[in-house]
Amino acid sequence: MYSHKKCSEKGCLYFAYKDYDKCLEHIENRDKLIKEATLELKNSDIIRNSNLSTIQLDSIELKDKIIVVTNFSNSKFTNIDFSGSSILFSLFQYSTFLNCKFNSTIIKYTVFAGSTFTDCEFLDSNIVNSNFNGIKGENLSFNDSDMYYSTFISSNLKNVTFVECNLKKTDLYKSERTNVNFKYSNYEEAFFNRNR
Amino acid sequence: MRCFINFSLTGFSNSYLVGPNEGGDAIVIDPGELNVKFLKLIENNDFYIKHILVTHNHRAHISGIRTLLKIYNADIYSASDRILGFPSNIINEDSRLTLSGIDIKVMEFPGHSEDSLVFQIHKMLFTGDTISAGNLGDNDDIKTVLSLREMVSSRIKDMDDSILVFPGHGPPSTVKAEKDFNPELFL
Repeated sequence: MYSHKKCSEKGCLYFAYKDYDKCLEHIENRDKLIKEATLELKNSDIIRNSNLSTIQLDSIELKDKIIVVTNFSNSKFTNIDFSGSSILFSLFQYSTFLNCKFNSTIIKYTVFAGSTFTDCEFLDSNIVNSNFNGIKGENLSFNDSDMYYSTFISSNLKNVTFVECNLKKTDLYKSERTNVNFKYSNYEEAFFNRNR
Repeated sequence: MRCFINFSLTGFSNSYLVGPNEGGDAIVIDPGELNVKFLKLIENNDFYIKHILVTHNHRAHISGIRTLLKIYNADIYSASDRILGFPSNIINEDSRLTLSGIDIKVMEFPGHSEDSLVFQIHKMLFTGDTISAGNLGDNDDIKTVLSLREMVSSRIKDMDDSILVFPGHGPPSTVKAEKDFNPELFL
């Protein structure tokens, strides 16, 4: 498991980066560390047991990677292509994703809660048992994906398509949906309400 | 310490395997099913199952016990004295457990079932059906549901945000995400 150490800066709630005492927001040589991490991520096939929270990545390809038990909480991803990757048991909570691709990915037991997604694709993917609670999503496509047991509780979705998806046990309780399309999907097997 | 998750088709539940980095005696939490994948996970990591923790006595969380006990000589820990007819060590809020060298905090959360327990190991919370991502355990009695909501709300608000939540069903979460987005909590 990655370290759960908190940033030592007074009042900061983020995780400390890697083995450092502080998060990337509060480390002095932040830019150098981001460059090093970017290179490391590009050159590694497997990213495992790392705490890379608060990292900011821009315009890199992270295709066909295996990302396991890695903490990317409170991070920012701009123009990142994760296509073909397997993302397992990882944390991406409270992060920002701008124009990112997750096409043909396997995403299992991963937490994206509280993140903001804009102009992102999750096409033809296997997104199982993953937590999207409280996300804000605009212009997203999950078409042709298996969304089994993934949750979008308390999320805000605008212009989002779930066309030809498996939505069995997908939970959208208390989600705000504007122009969300479930065409050709088994939305009757998803949860929109709770009978209590 | 290492932690692994295994999805079981019996009740669509999650089972967890927790053990030391170097292998050896390990703990299984809520063995919903002992399938080949789970057995390989145990064996390939050089674990020997010495302890079984049960969050509550429902089929989806215990069905794998019979097979586990055919292979491993393990002790069961739960809120009941017997699970599937096998003797179980009764544990409660006051229990201080150290199993396989791992400290375990036991919390009682009657609600989804009378015997519901939650286990905290380091920064991981194994919640059974008491808390799942964005939801709380169900019960036919509305008074019990409200009491559980109050109990979970009052206890979770003081917990560290970085604690990971590993439920018996569905995706994992964090204490922060539950505080922010679980519509069942009174926060």
